[in-house]
Amino acid sequence: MSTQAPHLKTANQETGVAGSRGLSQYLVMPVVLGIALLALYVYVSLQELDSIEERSLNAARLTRAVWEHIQLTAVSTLLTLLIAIPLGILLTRPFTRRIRPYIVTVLTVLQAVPTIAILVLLAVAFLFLGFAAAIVGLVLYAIVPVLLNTMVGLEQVDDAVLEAGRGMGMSRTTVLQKIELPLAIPVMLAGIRTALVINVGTAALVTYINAGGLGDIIVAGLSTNRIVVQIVGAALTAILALLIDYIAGLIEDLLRPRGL
Amino acid sequence: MTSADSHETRQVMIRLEKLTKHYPGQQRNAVDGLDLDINEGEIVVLVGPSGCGKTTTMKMINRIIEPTSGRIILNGEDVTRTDADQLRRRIGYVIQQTGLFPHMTIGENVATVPKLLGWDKSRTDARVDELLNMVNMDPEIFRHRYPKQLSGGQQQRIGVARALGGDPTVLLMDEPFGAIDPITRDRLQNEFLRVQSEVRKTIVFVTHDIDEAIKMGDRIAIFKEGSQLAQYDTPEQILTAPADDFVAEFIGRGASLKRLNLSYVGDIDPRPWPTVSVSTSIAEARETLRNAAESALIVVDEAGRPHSWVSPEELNRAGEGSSLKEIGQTPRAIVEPRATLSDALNELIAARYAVTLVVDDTGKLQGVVDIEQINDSIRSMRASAVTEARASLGGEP
Repeated sequence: MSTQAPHLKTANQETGVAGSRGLSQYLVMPVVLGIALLALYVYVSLQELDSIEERSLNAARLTRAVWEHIQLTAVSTLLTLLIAIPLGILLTRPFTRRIRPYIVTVLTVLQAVPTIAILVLLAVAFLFLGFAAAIVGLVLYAIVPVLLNTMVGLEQVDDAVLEAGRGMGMSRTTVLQKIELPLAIPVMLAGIRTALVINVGTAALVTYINAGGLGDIIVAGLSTNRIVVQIVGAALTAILALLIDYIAGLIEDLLRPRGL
Repeated sequence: MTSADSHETRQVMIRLEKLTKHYPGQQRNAVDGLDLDINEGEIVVLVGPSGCGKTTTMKMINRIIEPTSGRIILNGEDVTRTDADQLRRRIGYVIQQTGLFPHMTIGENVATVPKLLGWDKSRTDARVDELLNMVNMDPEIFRHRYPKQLSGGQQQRIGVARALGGDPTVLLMDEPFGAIDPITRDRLQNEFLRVQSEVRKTIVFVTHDIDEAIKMGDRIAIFKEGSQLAQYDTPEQILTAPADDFVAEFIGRGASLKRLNLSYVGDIDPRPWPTVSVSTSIAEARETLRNAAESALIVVDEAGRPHSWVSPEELNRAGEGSSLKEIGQTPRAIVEPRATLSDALNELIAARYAVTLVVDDTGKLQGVVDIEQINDSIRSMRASAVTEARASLGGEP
């Protein structure tokens, strides 16, 4: 998946327009999500809610869960970027060539461990619970796609372009800033988007270590056997995930350098 | 042998002293103790089989490849250990794959070195326009385009313009026209020689194509495998007096034919040919042809440009009322004075009457060139080259 991005070239190359989608296509997703939210609201309004359901499905509780979920996603993704992008840059510099394969292997193995296992491990072995523990689990899992895409993005830059840059007297730092990173951005953004989607989905699990989020609603519905509550929790998680993916797509289109 | 006599008066721009490159893990040096002087304002072509060290040599001049030992002296200054980034801003660099920055516009690409040198915006913009005009790319059209919107030939033109950005005294070119189709390559070579006649840079040009070397080079350095310099001399001398069997073999057969690339139609006097104007009557044209030794007439238009060939058969077939404008065959073999004798020969082989028409810049007919004249020209070239080779022999003890 990560290597797909460079081939997704813009349709309007001749005119140099950055966007790959028309305005109407940009509007489809928000409209669909709006309709889904409305349908959910109508569905819940038509139900006779008992006291347990009412305790879970009130505006204050749902808003808090959504807000916690957004915080979990945002903080974990931000930390992921802060760790993975500099690491990816370091691991593509010539002086790290020898240790590169080992680090990539270790991280790939780490990613094979499910987040829930990491969370449980943190909770049981270290008695590490709550928001901070959730962030650790999420970050560990999301580092790999961002790191690998940063490395692939930087490595796929044409050697001739780099040689031309160096040959004209750009320093290594200038070449990184002005040439390598801009040319790697499409692939890097694809990795970041993947990390975001992973995080928004996995954040539904951190309720098990008492870190909040929309998982609270789903688990409340499951433990009390209330279908409506489960549906609301699951639907809100899905809508939030799609919304964040949509926003990430917008950012991808905006940041993609023209001329590629 | 390392310097031709005729160039000794000119100032040395690049001097390589005992330049050596050793790659770790390899037995032989990629470049081994090379001494080479390159004079100001000349194009020196490094040519040789792959693995001969020509590219490594060139890349050591701007230290994209750092030499293991030896010295590089640029315009009298030892630059072997100076700041490489600063050095490279003084040396233009053109590579085969162009290496244009795909995310930058043509204007931004060409402005790369001026920006690194800290020129202000108006000076940079003026320079970009000047360079784009110099390589025949209209700035109004191309300044804001991206590299991928350009053809291969246009991209390579921009590569040259970008390399000239900071007005360097030295230009390094690594097979710049290697990845371009033959027709476009020929045009780019001619254009580049025209640009060079204006800018007079000191140019080190790497190629594996001996024909390109002969066409582009003021002097040619032929490398043997194992980075030995086999011969360093003018194209004329290399073609006439190859230093050894390796050089002779590298030039290949047809050295005489290759020499035709070194002289121009303008160097020889075109032969006259019976000519009539389009307004001449058919009867007069018949009379002219009857008195001529040749087997056909050239018809020229009012401006003196060749219009057609007419044969006796065509004149006989034509009725009294018809005009010379309507009969005859359009001439195909036409060359300008700047064309090489090789071009002229190529044209005349395919031509109807075994001659090539020579026209001036306005297209006016000057006369014709035939195989005899080309042959004479080869013979005199060979004679003078032999004399020169003999003279240089006599100069050594």
